Amino acid sequence: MTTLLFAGHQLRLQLRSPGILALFIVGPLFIIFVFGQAFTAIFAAGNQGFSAMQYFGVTLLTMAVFQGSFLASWAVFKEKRSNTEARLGVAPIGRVSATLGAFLGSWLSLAVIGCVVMALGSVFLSIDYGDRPWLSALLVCAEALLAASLGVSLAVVFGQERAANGVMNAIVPLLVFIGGGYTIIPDSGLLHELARFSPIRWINLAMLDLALPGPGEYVAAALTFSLAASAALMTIACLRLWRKR
Amino acid sequence: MIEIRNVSKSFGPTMAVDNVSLTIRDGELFGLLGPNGAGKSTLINMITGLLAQDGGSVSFMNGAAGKAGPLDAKAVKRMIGLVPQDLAFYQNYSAIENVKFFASLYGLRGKALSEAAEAALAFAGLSDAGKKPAKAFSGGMKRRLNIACGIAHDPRVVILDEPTVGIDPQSRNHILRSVEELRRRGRTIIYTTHYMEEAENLCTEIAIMDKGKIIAQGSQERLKLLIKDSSGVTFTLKRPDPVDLGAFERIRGVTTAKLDELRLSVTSEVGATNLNELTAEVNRQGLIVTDISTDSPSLETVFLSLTGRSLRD
Repeated sequence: MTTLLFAGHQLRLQLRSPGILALFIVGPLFIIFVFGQAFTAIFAAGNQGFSAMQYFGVTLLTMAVFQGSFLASWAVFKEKRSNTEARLGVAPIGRVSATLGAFLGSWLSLAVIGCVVMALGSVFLSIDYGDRPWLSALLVCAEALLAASLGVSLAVVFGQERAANGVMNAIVPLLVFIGGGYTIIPDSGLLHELARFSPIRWINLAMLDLALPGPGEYVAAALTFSLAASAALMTIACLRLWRKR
Repeated sequence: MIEIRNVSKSFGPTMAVDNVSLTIRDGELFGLLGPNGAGKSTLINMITGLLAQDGGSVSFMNGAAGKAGPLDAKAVKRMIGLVPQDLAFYQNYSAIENVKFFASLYGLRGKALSEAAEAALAFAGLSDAGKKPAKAFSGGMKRRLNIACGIAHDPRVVILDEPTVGIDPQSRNHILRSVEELRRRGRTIIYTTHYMEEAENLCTEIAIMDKGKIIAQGSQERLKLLIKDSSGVTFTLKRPDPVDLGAFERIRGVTTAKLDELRLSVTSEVGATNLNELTAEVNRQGLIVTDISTDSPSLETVFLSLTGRSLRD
């Protein structure tokens, strides 16, 4: 019950914040539009099989969702910032349940935000998510799960907002970059090998493949990678909380 | 009853709380006073379970409840309502949303939750502002909302940590009346403050803490006796009649009697309780008195006397 209470609390706080909505919905759509326009000629000359708008419509969407790990971290640290930590500390609730609630709420809000960006991109920027858009939405939800677990686990493990944000500031852009978020990753070489370790790479590949439209051969791999990494991160967070208790 | 026995806590080389023992009886309004860094907040954090003590014990109701068997940590937590010194609520929530959220942590749901939240807001004088976002509140309203969030689940023990810091007199007055109302309802209250007159007006029992130790504890009267080595009575006379000072000095317990124009000052030993004899002597000598005053130390005098006047960091 505590978990659901905190999930609802988190969802309400995040989806009610105009700053968050602007940053995670309007921001990505604007950047997709700018990049889609700016790189049109380059993509046309490169004969990639998809347009710049199509490419960035996927990769910048997954980048935005992955950036949501900062939101999840904020969900944990906000109690300290709003001085409510002591009030929650004296209440008869479990810390693990409360943290799982923050994780669940962050995941739901990121998933909603990701799907809204997908829908708006599809309507206003004509981005094609293939014949089975629900599969793309499922991939976005899986990525949101990964982003939420990354933010929450780093917040729990480091305990200090600056330290957790510092690590996220290093990890998130790196995984987005080698995942092809900013530019197309070549089919061979060191970057190609490194890209295997980025869950963003698998999600991007799966979504672009669905958009082509392809058979969706990367969907299973992308979902497995995201869910396994998420489970591992949340296990670490829970173990850390139990040890603290 | 809250029993604190030989509780200690150190942070590195600093002994924040040093072997403190206190007993807080049910229904008592217990004032915890002390200068900055005295260890009050550390002690409160240990009472509420936010901080583990290095040694000693804190027990509620002798460590046992009646019906449901021994008190577990959750049962103790349900008894406690904390009003922290810092404003502890969500600025983006409305007042009612804040109160409901914190009350729901104690298992309140549905109608019971709504009623509890409404009652807490009414208690804090915020019924009309329930739907306003907390960030739009004035300083005094925020302080009152801070209290409403801490008491909505109807705790038996309310801990108020400096609840009147930096607010307007109206809000302060409301908060002080609310604290008295909580005591009338039979709640046990632990109240920390820097305002001596608040403690003097509210608290039934007071402990003064300094450098991690309880340096004095008792009723106000008992604390005041700690710093008194004499008590004085001053009679203001209507006209400069001749006064037989020797007759006053022969009264039991009197140490000196002086006349300074129209002011007759008589000093006695502490506990002499000779006011009746003094007034009888005034009448016997036919002196006409316009005013009588006794020198009674304030709680502030006691506090400064016990903790010193040097500035604290």
